[in-house]
Amino acid sequence: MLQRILRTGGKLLAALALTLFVGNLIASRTCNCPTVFDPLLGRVPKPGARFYWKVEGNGDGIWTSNGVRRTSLPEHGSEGCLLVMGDSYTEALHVTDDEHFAHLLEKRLRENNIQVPVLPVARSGFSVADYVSNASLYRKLFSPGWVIIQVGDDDFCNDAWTIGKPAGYAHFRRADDAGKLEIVNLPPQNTGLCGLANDRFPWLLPIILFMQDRENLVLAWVKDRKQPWFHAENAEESNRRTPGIQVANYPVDQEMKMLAEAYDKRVILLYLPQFDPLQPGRETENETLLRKAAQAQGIHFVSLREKFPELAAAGQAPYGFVNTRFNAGHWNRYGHQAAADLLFDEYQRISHAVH
Amino acid sequence: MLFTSPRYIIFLAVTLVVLALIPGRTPKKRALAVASCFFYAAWDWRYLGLLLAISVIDYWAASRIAASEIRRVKQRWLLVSIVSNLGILGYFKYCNFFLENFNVASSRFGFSVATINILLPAGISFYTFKTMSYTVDVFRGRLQPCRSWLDYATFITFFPELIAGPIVRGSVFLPQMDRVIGPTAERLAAGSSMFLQGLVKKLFIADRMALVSDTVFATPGIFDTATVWCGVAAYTIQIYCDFSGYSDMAIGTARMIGYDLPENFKMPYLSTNITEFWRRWHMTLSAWLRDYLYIPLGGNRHGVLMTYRNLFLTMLLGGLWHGANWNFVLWGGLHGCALTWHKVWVKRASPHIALPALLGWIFTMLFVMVTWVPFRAKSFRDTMSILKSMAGFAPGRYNWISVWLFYTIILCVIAHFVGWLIERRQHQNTASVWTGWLCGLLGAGIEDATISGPYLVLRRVTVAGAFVVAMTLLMLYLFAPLMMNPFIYFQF
Repeated sequence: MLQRILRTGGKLLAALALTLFVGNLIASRTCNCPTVFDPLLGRVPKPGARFYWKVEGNGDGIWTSNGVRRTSLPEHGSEGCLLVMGDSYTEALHVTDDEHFAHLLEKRLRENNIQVPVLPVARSGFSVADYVSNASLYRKLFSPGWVIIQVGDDDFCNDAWTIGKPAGYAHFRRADDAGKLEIVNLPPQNTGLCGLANDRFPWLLPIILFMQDRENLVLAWVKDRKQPWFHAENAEESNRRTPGIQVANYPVDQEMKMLAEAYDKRVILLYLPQFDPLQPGRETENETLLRKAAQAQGIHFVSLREKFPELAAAGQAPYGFVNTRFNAGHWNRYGHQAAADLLFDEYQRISHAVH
Repeated sequence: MLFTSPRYIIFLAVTLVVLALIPGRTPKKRALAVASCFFYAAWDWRYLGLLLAISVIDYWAASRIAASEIRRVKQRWLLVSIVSNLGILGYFKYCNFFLENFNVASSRFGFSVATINILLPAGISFYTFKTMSYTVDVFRGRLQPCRSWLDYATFITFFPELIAGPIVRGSVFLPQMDRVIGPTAERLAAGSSMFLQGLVKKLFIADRMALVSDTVFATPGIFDTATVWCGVAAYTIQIYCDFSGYSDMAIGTARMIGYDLPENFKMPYLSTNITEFWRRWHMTLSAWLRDYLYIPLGGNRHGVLMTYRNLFLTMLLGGLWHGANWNFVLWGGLHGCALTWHKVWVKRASPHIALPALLGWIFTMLFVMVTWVPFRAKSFRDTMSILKSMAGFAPGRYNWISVWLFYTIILCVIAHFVGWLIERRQHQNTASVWTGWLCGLLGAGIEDATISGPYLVLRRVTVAGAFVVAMTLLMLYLFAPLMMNPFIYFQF
């Protein structure tokens, strides 16, 4: 009897080990983005390690130090560079390095004899509060000539005002009854499952990270709840995170002012609106409000919507991938290409104006 | 309480533990009836009374039919059963449909009738058909009436097949009531294997394909021809895996409890003609329509033309059974035409022209795919828009072809190959080298002794078998959309 139990247990253990091995092998090529802890920046992608992201889109690529997504830092230093900040849309695990708009922009500039390095330093979950809060650090690290900040409606609204954010993130709050804003910054800490997995179980990292990525979805399933809105598979009507958000309900003017002051007004905002396949050129109220607020502070405002009619005519949506939903979730290579074209035109306009 | 939800898994586990702990055959059955009522009440407790009322009416009518020797009295009680079942079905399912159509017709005369706010009771189409077949079978003398109402209520409320079938007849289920139910090691192993197969079909394939088909059917006018074809192909796979996955889970759950439910799907997409398709698709409904509609209409007993008429009418009503919508009537009508056409072909042309099986399969699949369009589309207008796009007329501009569709097709081809091996083994009654090798490796056996059809079930622990199960669960965790999508047939 005991022998039988031992034999069965042995078989089950062998099957489990084999499952973990094969699962890890699959995860290493589908959802694998190793990170390291940086005391200043928090958890950043591991320099030199190739990441694979095939669960939404078909991305892979390499980061260098300080969370810059490119194979190496510019030979002549980063001074005067175009620093690209943003959230998961600019982190863009969903596309390859060659498809990333920062890479495309630098290539286009180079082709036009403009030798300006473009350094993407986006971090998933960042909002306007984080861009303001980290301004001095990033300016000190990279000495950028101009800063491109990719934003959506929620970056000025709920994302920038969420109190319960994890360490390494910032949020706004009202400092007094007069409504003056201040930033609450939570310094980075090396905690959580991600840190534990990276440091303790590097040999099992991909499967742990993949399972962690699915955590919200599975928890929602366990509790019979609707899926989290940010999951691409759940993005039904809106491709841009929280649907129905009202920018007018937030002190966007003050946020924009803080942003302009943090970067000495050398900011280009890249705005990502929703894409309506039937009315691609229609501007929303939120976009109008943000554009006016930005212009009032001397911030350059570029909306991806300007390229929407062109994309629609070509039968392309800027969001969604062949392995997720049409026009849902993060932006694809068409969106990145459109952004690179728009930013190139804007940079040229700025350069001509300066000269 | 969806079969794919954690709540159902907990409910099932508790039910099985209770059935294992309660001693005695009758108390187990009572506990099962209580669990079934709880399951139904979890959907909507207000309609539990309706379900129990139907069971009382039909139990009473059947016992009166059996008690009487006079045919006219028997007929009267049968009429009571049929009128009450169809009346309830008609009121809840078709009342607003008729009122809306009446309003459309009468609008030119300037009057209309207000529609009624009715919530469709879950599973009403299935359990009314189930109860009607019982009284008809008793009337025809093919079935002895149930001696106890509680036994009958256990049959009617049996939760695995209550909401969306298979449509189990009394003649199939009631003889099993003498069994001592409750989980055993063998039942659990077989039932959970069947359940897992259904879970994979639903979570891994159907819900994934829903992402594709829902997008295309939501805004059909914006996509190009290739995308629309892919959307229709995705729905073709989705509806099969959704419904047959549900049936697998129902059959697996019933098996864990100790009952056998009849086979509902037999790889219908391998059919080489439309008649074969209907012998393999939703088999319990096809058989029900044949025995309780087509044959009473006259079947093939009154000449060729009447046979064709009966066939067409049966399919038309079969379409309407799916839902109070002209699209379903169109779908049923098209299948009725195809079945009639196939009968004509077999009679007139097939003795002279031999159609290769591959060509037959292509024609059948194309027809089935095209007819899924009215079945799935929200309106007649959408149906026409999609059909136009498929034909290459007025297509939209957007091209979006999901890569998951191709992965799924590969998976389906592999699964159908294994299914074909099992079916071949069953027909030839010999163990082929392939199936023997597969079963030996997985520690599995082929369950084909029961009415549930052939299933690959795990019988002993092997490394390969445990690996396949663990890997399946891991892949479900990592890749299933987990969307809490209700089963398509729940709406019927």
